[in-house]
Amino acid sequence: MSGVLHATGDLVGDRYEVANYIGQGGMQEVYRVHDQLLERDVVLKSPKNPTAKKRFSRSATLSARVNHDNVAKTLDYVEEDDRFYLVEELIEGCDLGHFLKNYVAMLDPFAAGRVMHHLAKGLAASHHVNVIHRDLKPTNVMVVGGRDFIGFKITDFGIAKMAQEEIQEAVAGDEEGLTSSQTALGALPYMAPETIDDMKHAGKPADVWAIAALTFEILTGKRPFGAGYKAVPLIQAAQVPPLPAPLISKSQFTPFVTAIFDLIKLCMQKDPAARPTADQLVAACEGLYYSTVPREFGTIKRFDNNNWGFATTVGSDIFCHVDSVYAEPALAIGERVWMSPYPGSPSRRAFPIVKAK
Amino acid sequence: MKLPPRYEKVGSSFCGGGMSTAFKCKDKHLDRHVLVKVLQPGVDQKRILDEVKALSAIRSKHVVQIYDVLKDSSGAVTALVEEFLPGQDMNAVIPIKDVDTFLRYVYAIACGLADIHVVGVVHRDIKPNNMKIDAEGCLRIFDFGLSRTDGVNCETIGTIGTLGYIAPELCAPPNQKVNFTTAVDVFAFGATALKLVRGKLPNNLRTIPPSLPSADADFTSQTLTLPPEIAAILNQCLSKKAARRPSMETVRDTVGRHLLHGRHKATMIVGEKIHYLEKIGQSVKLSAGSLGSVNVSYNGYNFIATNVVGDVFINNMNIVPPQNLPGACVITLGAPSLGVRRRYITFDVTHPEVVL
Ligand SMILES: Nc1ncnc2c1ncn2[C@@H]1O[C@H](COP(=O)(O)OP(=O)(O)OP(=O)(O)O)[C@@H](O)[C@H]1O
Ligand SMILES: [Mg+2]
Repeated sequence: MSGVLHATGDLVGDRYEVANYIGQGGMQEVYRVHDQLLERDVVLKSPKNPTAKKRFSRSATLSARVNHDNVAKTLDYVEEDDRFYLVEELIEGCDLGHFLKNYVAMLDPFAAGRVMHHLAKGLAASHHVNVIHRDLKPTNVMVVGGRDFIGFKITDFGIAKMAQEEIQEAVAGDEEGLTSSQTALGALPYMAPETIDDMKHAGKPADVWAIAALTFEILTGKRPFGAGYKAVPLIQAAQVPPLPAPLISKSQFTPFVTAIFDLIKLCMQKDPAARPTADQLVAACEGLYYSTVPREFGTIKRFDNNNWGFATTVGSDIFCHVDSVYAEPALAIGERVWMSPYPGSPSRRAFPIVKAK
Repeated sequence: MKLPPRYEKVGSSFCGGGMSTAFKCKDKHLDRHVLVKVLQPGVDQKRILDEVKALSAIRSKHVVQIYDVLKDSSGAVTALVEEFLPGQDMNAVIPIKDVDTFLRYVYAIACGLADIHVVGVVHRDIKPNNMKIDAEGCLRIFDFGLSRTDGVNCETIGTIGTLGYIAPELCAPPNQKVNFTTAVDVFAFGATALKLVRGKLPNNLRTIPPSLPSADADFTSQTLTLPPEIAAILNQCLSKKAARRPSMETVRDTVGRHLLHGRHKATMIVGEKIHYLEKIGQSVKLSAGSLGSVNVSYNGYNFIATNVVGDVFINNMNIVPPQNLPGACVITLGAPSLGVRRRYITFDVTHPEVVL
């Protein structure tokens, strides 16, 4: 794939040399560029619709106010030849949407808790400087290290403001209207009830709701109210569906899943004023227990007696017991798994284990 | 120097250590404050080039962010533009009166320095003056005006740095070349930690060369009572011999372990029942009649298996008590020959994550 706006080798702002096209969403194209002045690679974002200039530059100054490790850093803003560009820290990795789609669809409660904690930190920093995100969703969360799942950074602050009317119209319309707007379709599952009524109501509590909706998705593999037009009345009713039984069927996971789910429910109350602030959410996340041991991917090569088997990895084999598998009753030969290894004999032992793609 | 129209001076300039002049400016493109650091006339241009190179190479949440460089009409770099950090430097928070706050600061500095060293940069001017706590409470290291980017082995002529933070190996007679490594930052880190606890550096350190060892510089006998392992590693940072100082990575990991002291929780599943072990000094006896038994206790850092009787395995390994348990394991009671009559207990350790 390539972008429409630029080709490899183009020089922007007398400083940024286009290396390659990264991707696009509904509103902007994203490129990896080389900053010739500071000799490092960064990311260049430019809106597809150049008439949205005022809103784009506004979103740039908004994101530039936020300074936190869990937020992608805004480095520069360039206007040139009727076009305008935001320069952002390059995050080597992928976005969380890509991670869920291509690597692991449902994270165990330890990984999910860590994501929620880090996103809450980034959100709290932005709320401290009165910046509201408005469009928190998996594709606006960058996963540092991609498959290595090292850290998490929120990106694209306030950019949804550019598409506010479009989203509003699509959500208030019908199925067809919604599917015709990629941006509205992507935003909807994480929208708070008050923003469905009117995007102008997108305040800090709507961001807290969105983080919880996102956490619900990574913990269960499903969006709380589904996607598409049928989600609208469900979001408005704000009845968070209960946890699917398999998620709480194994005692090794139950207390941790429940702790996160309680937080999710707290953040997804219909009344925005009843939700915790980002700071309160951070404080609650500081009380979550999880382990930070790095994860590995593997493939089940033996699963003999329904209870245990072994996975091959890039390193040595790992022993996998069914009790350590989150939300699944069993594993089968050939299945991909994502897990933390611990010392054991003759093989390392995995905990927790989740299915991977 | 004439600033490009993008940057507008706010307030008066202040001096940055004799080599550069700094201004607070408004960046009109992004409507935020930045710091513009201009090289003073007559100062070797290598100073600013090294600083720019170091700042662009480092990726750390504990290091100030560079945005831009400014050049004169001949194309020579004369200034750099970096993030503006409001507020006071670390000298404003010393002496530190409680161990947890001290450990958090020291951990943040160690994380930052480890990030700096991993890309081959030596800062050469680590001191409380060159650190601030940002609006989000994150410690940030700045002023790379003396930094070197040529890897771990550098040389310099004459003593350079700030009195009290200068490593012994840098104290050579004038005009003599000295070789140095990242260990000079480790020394300055040790001196910084000492200033954080004492509020003032002892006179023994404030000489060239510092007179070491010094009782005043001993971390085991300060008013702040530090965990012995922390005091020991900080003392090592002030070793006279560079080779005896630990790496910043080692310091970081050691302090990181202490930040979690007493905060672990072991979740044990015995049959269908959940049990927790989380209090320092608490211990449990896991036993299955005559098959075997083991005691597991928590010392604030690790879960330790002792008093093994009969056949006990951890992740299928034999126990050599006292043995630290892995973060996740299955404890098996009973010999392999017993087959289904063996008992299994899962044991998983979790903890809150300290995100600074
Ligand atoms: N700072 C960054 N570093 C590296 N890649 C990035 C960065 N920011 C965004 N990307 C990548 O650029 C791609 C396009 O992002 P973009 O924001 O345009 O799309 P989106 O968020 O999926 O949709 P929309 O714009 O409709 O909200 C994404 O795949 C994302 O992974
Ligand atoms: Mg985006």
